[in-house]
Amino acid sequence: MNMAAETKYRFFIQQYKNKIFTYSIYMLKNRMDAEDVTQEVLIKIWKNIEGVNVLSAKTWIMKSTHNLCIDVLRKRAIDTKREVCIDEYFEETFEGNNTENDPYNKFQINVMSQRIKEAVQKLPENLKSVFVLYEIQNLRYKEISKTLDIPLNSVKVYLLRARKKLQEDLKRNELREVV
Amino acid sequence: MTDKLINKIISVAYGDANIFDIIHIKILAIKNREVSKLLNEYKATACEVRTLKEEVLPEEIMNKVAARIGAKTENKTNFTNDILSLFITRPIITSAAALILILSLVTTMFILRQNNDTLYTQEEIEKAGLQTKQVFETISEIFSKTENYVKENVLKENVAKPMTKSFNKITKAIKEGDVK
Repeated sequence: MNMAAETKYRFFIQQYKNKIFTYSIYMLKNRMDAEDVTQEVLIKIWKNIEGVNVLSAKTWIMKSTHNLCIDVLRKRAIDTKREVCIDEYFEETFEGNNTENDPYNKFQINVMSQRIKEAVQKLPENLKSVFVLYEIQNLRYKEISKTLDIPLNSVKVYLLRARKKLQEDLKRNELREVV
Repeated sequence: MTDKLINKIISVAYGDANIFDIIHIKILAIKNREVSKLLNEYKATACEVRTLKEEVLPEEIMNKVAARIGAKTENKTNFTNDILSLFITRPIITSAAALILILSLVTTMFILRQNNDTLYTQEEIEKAGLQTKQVFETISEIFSKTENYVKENVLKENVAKPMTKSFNKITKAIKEGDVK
């Protein structure tokens, strides 16, 4: 592997490692699996580094991540024990990332974020993938369409449905808390 | 409330609606309490969604990857990566910068070229001044000739003479009328 390829690889890693990891976490609801998928994707990038077009790399990388996540989801059975683990992990990671010093604000944001993360994770896979790519990864409709291999209009429809579903879930949770 | 309206409200709340929809929904929200309530609810959720940040990949995973592929995956940022990321992740900024650069180059070239055209020697400038003077003299000569011609020929023959003739005729007519 030459110097140019290594520079290109380092650039990709710097740009996309957290995106790959975040997407995997939301899709798989499990830290260990997300780490494994991230590793696999990073190795895949290295293997294909010379053939990867810099301009279309984003969709290629996210597509690879999505496909690997789907593979994992297909293979594994739903394990409720793991969901408890991921909840704990989310709390830990969020506390680690938060730079806010005010304890009250920190608490508020933490609660808010936790609530949303849980609700997003509960979305159906097709809606969740579009929602995460659009709202968290900041991909455009066209990029999502390429990444997930679905028509542009479906991206818009899924996004809308995801937002509605998220709203309903949050409302239901609020009501439950009140009761 | 129709589905179409709800969809518009959601888009406005999440900030990706067009300007017409934004205005439409804002007006409706003022008039209708139900619309306003729904809009606020979705806005609150959209705000919460924006608090979500990317998860950070643990360093140990990077080390594992590095060990597997046998290459450095250091996390340090460097100049090459910064430049590359600027070009790839911010295409608008790059395009704008390129456009400004091209425009400034073209403008500079144009100004330099114009300056080259107007660089004359002192002798040439004096000659041009002399020629301009001559041109003005010729024009002034033509004007004075024209003025004389108008005074002597046009005014005298075509204006003054017929006018005198007309006045004479009128005077004569008045005199004859008085006699009659």
